[in-house]
Amino acid sequence: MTNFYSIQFLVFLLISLLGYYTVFRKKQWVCLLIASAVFYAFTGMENFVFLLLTGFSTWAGARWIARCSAELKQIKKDKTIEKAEKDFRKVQVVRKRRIMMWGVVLLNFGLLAYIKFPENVLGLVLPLGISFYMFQSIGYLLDIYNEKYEPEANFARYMLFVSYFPQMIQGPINRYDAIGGQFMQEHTWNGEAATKAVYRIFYGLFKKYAIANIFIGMIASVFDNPVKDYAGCTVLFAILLYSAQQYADFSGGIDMVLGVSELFGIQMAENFKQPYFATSLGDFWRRWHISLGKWMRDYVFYPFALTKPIKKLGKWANKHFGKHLGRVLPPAIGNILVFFIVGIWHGTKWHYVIWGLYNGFVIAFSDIFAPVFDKVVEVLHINRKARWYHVFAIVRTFIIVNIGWYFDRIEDIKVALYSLKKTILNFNPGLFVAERNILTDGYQSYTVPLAVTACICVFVVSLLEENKIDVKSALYTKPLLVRWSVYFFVIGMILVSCSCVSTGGGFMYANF
Amino acid sequence: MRIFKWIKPLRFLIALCLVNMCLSFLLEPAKGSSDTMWTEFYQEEEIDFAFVGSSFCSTAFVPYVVDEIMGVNSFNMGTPLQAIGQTVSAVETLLEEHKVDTIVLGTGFFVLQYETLDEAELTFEKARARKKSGWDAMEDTLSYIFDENVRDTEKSINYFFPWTYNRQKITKDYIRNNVVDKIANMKAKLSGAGDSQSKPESAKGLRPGAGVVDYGTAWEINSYWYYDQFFLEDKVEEFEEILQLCNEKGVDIVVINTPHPAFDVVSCYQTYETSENEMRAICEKYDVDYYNFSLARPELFDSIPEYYSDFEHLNLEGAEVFSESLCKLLKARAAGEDVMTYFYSVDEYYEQHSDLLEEWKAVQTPK
Repeated sequence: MTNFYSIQFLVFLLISLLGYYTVFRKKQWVCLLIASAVFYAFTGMENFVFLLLTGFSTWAGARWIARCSAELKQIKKDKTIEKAEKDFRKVQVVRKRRIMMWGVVLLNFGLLAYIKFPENVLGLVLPLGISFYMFQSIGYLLDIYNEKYEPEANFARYMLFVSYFPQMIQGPINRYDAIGGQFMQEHTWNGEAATKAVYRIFYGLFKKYAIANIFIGMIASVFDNPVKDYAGCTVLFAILLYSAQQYADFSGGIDMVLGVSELFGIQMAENFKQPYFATSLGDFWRRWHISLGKWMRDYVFYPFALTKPIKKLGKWANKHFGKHLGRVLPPAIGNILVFFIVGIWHGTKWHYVIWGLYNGFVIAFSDIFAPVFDKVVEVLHINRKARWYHVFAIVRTFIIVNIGWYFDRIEDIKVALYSLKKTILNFNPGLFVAERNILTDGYQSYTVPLAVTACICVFVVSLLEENKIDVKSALYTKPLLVRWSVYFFVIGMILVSCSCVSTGGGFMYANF
Repeated sequence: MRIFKWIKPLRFLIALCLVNMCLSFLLEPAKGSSDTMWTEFYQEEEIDFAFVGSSFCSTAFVPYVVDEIMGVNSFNMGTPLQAIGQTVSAVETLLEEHKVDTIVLGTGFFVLQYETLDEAELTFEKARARKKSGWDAMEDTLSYIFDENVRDTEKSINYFFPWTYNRQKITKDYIRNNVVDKIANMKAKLSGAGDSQSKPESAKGLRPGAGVVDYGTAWEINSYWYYDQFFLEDKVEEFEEILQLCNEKGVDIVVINTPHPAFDVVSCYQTYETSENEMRAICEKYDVDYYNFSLARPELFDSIPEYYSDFEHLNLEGAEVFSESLCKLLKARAAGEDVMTYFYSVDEYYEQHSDLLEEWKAVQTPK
């Protein structure tokens, strides 16, 4: 069921949509809950245990915390109690809230760690979407703890928020205040919105099949084959392919899930915003896996930066090293922590940790040394608003991101460093043509042109969207012949790309 | 108004179907192997003896030779790149449609060593459904696309777009000839003469090709280079499914490892005995007779170089001689003779071909 490009999912989707807009028109959330349960049941009944445990613990925990918050307000308002008694009771309630919050957080993340980290020792199969729904549920719990909104009283409605099927494969990590209300609204079928949603699904399939799936084998033949020792230029080429594969796979998958959700009239959080047009690494992470970045910012970065020791560190740095360092040192440490966690979230292997820390340190250093860079720019009379500088910043960021991909893709850190060294010191472009032929050996002759065409298409669409042109809406207003030509082209590319490589419906981020 | 709401998507779907039909007409071969085999299969009124398997089967067994010697009405259901899963499906269809006494499963180690090619699988299944009519065709299609191994894969959708998986290299000549053949087929069907592609001389399944293997490439193109030398668990399970199915239905099944030229057998000397023992053990588990014709003694089948079209397939001349040998074996088996005396053991075989083996060892390089 997790493969969107299958008859099983198509039938499931059509039945769900039919029920949603007809029989369940007055109780559409019930239809979505049933559909989500059916969808999840297909991934294995045993996975329900984890889903229900997370759902119930965060729902009940949030209700308890909300009650404590109400009690705290009551105590504060109550003028009949003496101050000492009031303070004592306030401390008691605050402690109860905190214990409950930490208890639920530790229970869930402990469970995640138990399943995810020692997976090879315990042999447990990771339940589909566990870290996505867990992050989402913990976000809800912390929002209630911070009294951002009222808790959901109905457990079934809350379970829909946790288990909503489109988000189960690879996110995005939704927020209750953004999506909870949408579940309760009545949605009517909208032809234009549905057309755009279907286009988005096909565009996602296009990225996944015409780019990501085609590059898998080529990348693997460089990095998963210890016998062959490729030249630096080929290693770089494979990293660039990996860059494209990562983006096409993850953003393609997200396009599909958002498109499916839009068919039900539910707008989920956007997860990508042309990340390869970012002008700094920080900017890149605000455009790539946006929902995870926001989650980390709100529930790890800010709470960490606002802790007493970090505040004290800021003041100490301010006093000893000046205003700038006093201001940027706490967030720099926060960034390193966040990316350390992001690295571990990707997997327990060291190369992920190194990759995470690399990103954290680059962002931290760029903040700390910002005055030095400003000085250089000033001395060289560089106009940062100039077009060429913007392009330079994009290329610079792309290079920095790709250096990180070496540690993300290559599992052995020594090999990653060796490959990086070879890229710089043993580039050897003369060998490229011969080695590229080895990479594409065994593929149909049209495979590479097809993937290149697809990459160009995605680049053009991204460029248009970066320039604030909504391609879906623009396409919708075009004459029938133009629209249909585009639709047929996209569908044709998907179908033909399936004949280029063995099938591979799985997503890179499905096992997180 | 409600109806008009559905017109837009409907007209797009109709246009998509039309484009799909046009592309299929232009690109899907008029004389595809699976198509030819299924066409001829459904033309047969009675089959009591069948050959099943991949290209090892289609290029090895010649029904008209077997029919004449054995006095049976045989049919060869082998098609190129037919995965063992499709052979299961072929056997099921065969047993549903005909009362078969004997099935010969023509195979090779490779059949249990390679991952299924989606294109071959889809072509095979599509061709079978196409030969049925009305409800049967729909039932066949639905049972395939909703099969538990297919329904959650891209195959379940791609099945409906045959031009993506069933086609040759696209050239102007290919398209022109294809269209001419298809029009001829249509005319023949309309005139009630049946499918023009099924010619009487080629009926009862596919025929082996002509041509002789180039022995100059023996050490570069052989099983050692082409295949991994271990059996895949899911393929073994499907192989066993065939044996079990035949046992349950009371059909006599014989597993034949079709002959390979000596240079190919010696190329896999490091794993050959293990593969042979594994294959034999699987058959013994189901009390099924297994014969490896690569190891046949010359008095049963003289495996001369001129009989092969490549390193693993027989040509027509070889297949005719081999079919006679098979009949000799089956008759001896029916008479209760100890037919294993017709075969070398693996050690004996390598001893017989020690010069060739030494030559291979001298030129062999690691994969």
